[in-house]
Amino acid sequence: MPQFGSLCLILALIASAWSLVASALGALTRSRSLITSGERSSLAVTAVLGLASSALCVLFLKDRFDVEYVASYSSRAMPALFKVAAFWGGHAGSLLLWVLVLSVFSAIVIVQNRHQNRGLIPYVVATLSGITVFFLVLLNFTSDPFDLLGFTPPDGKGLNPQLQTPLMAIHPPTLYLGYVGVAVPYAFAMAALLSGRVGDVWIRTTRRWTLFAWLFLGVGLLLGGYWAYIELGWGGYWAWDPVENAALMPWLTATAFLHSVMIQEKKRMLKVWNMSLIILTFTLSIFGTFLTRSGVISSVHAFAKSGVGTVLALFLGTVITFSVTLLVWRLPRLQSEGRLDSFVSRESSFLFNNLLLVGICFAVFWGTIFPVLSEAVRGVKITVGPPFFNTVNFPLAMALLALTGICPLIAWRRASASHLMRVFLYPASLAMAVFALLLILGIRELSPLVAFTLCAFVLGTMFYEFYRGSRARQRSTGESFPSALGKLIGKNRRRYGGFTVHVGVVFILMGVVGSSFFRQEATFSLRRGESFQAGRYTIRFQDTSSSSDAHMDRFEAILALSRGGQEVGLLQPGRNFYKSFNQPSTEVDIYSTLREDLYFILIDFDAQSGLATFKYYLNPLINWIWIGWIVLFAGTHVAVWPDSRERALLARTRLIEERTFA
Amino acid sequence: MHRSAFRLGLCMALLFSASAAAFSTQEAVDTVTAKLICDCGCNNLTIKDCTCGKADRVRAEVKGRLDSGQTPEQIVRAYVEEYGEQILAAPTTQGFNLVGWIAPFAVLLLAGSFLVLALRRWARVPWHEPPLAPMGPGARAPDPSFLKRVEDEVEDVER
Repeated sequence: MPQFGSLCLILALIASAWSLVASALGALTRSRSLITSGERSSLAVTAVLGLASSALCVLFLKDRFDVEYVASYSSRAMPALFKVAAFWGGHAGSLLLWVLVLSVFSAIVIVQNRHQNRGLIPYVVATLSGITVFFLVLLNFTSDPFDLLGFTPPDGKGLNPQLQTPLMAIHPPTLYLGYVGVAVPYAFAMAALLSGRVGDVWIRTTRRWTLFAWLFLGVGLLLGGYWAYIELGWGGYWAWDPVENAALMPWLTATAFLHSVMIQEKKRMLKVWNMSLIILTFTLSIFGTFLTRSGVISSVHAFAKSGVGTVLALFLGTVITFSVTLLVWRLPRLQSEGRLDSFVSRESSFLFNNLLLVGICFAVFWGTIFPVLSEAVRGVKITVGPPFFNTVNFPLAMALLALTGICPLIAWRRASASHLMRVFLYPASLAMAVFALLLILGIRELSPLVAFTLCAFVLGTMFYEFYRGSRARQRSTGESFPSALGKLIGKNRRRYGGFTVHVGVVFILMGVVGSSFFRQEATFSLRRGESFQAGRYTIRFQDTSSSSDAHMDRFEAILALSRGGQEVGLLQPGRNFYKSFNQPSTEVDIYSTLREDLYFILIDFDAQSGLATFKYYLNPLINWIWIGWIVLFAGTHVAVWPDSRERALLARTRLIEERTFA
Repeated sequence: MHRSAFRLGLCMALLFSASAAAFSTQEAVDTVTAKLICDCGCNNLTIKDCTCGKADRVRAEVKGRLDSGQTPEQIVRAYVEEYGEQILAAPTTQGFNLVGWIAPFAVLLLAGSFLVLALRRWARVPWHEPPLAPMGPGARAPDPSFLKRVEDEVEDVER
């Protein structure tokens, strides 16, 4: 079986190399048979990698500890789900997952475009195959997950117990769907440059891919944050770890890209900028892979130094050189065809939005690499931790939030002063009312005051937009308000899907601000029967319970929680002791409401004195972060839902391009 | 009676001041420990937030130093002397480190200025619209209210 896996990897490398060569030659010589051969080899790569991955799964499920990778990340005692998840628990397996996802995406692109975009596809396949070849070289020559140990240990080392949760099982694949998904719009962009078809067909064709990648990167970040929150026991969800930053950066530039492509679609401007953004996004997604695996920057997420750093750095350099050279070569064809009607317009507000998103991305990048830079310049090691990122990014995020509110209110092309007055009135009034309310509630700190006021402003804008559109429709069609609202959204899915995403983002920011600025925490000790006051909650330590099985010993404290004299629930924070890892882990328990989370940790229990030490965090508004993500997820779905008008527009754009190049 | 009331009052005052002192120490501990990074490898957390045993020890140490009368600044300085600048959770605001703090804003400001200049230029460039058909004899300029309606409708469509 391991030999079969290795063989599949070699076959995949050969087939993808041929796919690259055949597609590139086919595109240059316009040879239909070569192009077809390239596409078929690419499909074959998908099949062979599917076999290789299945083989690795079987090795994990069958406890084949003679395979080094299986022995390192699995053990007999692990449940089947986590044996499968151990597939991507280490460097080599996660690389295999990366390239498998890429090959599946390539296959989908090929099948989707059997009868369309034929001028672009050979170049797209060549680009995607080029990336596949690189990762397969890495897999075959530096990190083969099928390498044998030469002996069979009685049991494997197992996966870190904290990673043995369903959330951690799906967090990496979700992120990979995002990272790898970016490769598709990138490949189309490169195809547009190579073929000279630099109109907006590539952008319109890949809009859903970009949204898909953007969404999954975001969901990956969310799952990671949520996992950290419920597992790590420090009451937070984001620590600006270099690898977290690495996933955030392409998400930020992809967000900028999703906005700026609208200007290219509407005004045929910003062609160079859009190309640059997608190149940047893809480069950053490779940079993320590089950071995790190179050992350049230490991080909780980093795989052990695997010596692939240099190869990845070379690849990164190649991608940048290749893309930028193409871009410069095609500059003459990328001239703007439109112009701005006015300085104050939706177009310019989109550009400022891009500026801020890329600015935040730069700040994150700068903070991530600054320790390396400092060591090179001064020879002194320094740390750039959460205080730096919070301080630098807060004002930028607030400016971005303000723009999120202002942007939809400014009309396309040109905004008149009277128009602005009219549309700003209600949201601005709501914001002022919230500001006054916050002052009355006794909030005096500037940052949360500004943040919540802006959140109110943006929410006001969004709801006003939904209301204004529905009312206008109601007036002209005489429908009921709900029906008008439904049809308004149905007929403008991109617009209102986008607005829904903005509402989600505001919820997320509300949660972040609430839980960062108003967090309370305390450590205290109780004996059985004693009580403690935490905010508006009374906590009574009732009892303890313990249990044991083959994997671990569990110990829990049972706390009765009451608010205003009414019992509201039981909390059972505990500590697990994993036998195979010989280490204890904190098991958090949380009492959640929309207003706040009461987050409890059992720090210590002294059996002799019966004294238990607890720590709690009171995290106001934190659940709005998760709710915000659900809203964002829903909004994205509204925006990607197929739209017949959009399809017709795309078909027309394609036709025009085909005629131009006929 | 009088005396017992006095005693009670004194006890209350002492209790109050003791708890106030404990509170301020906890705040001071938080202030100091939020400036130090934990290098336990668990996560990129400050000593204030980290849950590892090492962070526990440092927190207790900081509390001890505060109780012995050291100021937060002195304590932070002592840690930097012992472990190097690396122990600080964020770069200092001196020397080369200043570049770290300023660069994000400087780059943004620079890019923003370029953007403003570019937008101004783009908004000024004359737009070569196809020439309108010449108005025939007897034709009159369209009604301004009609023009406004067209503008508004175009705006609605483009929204």
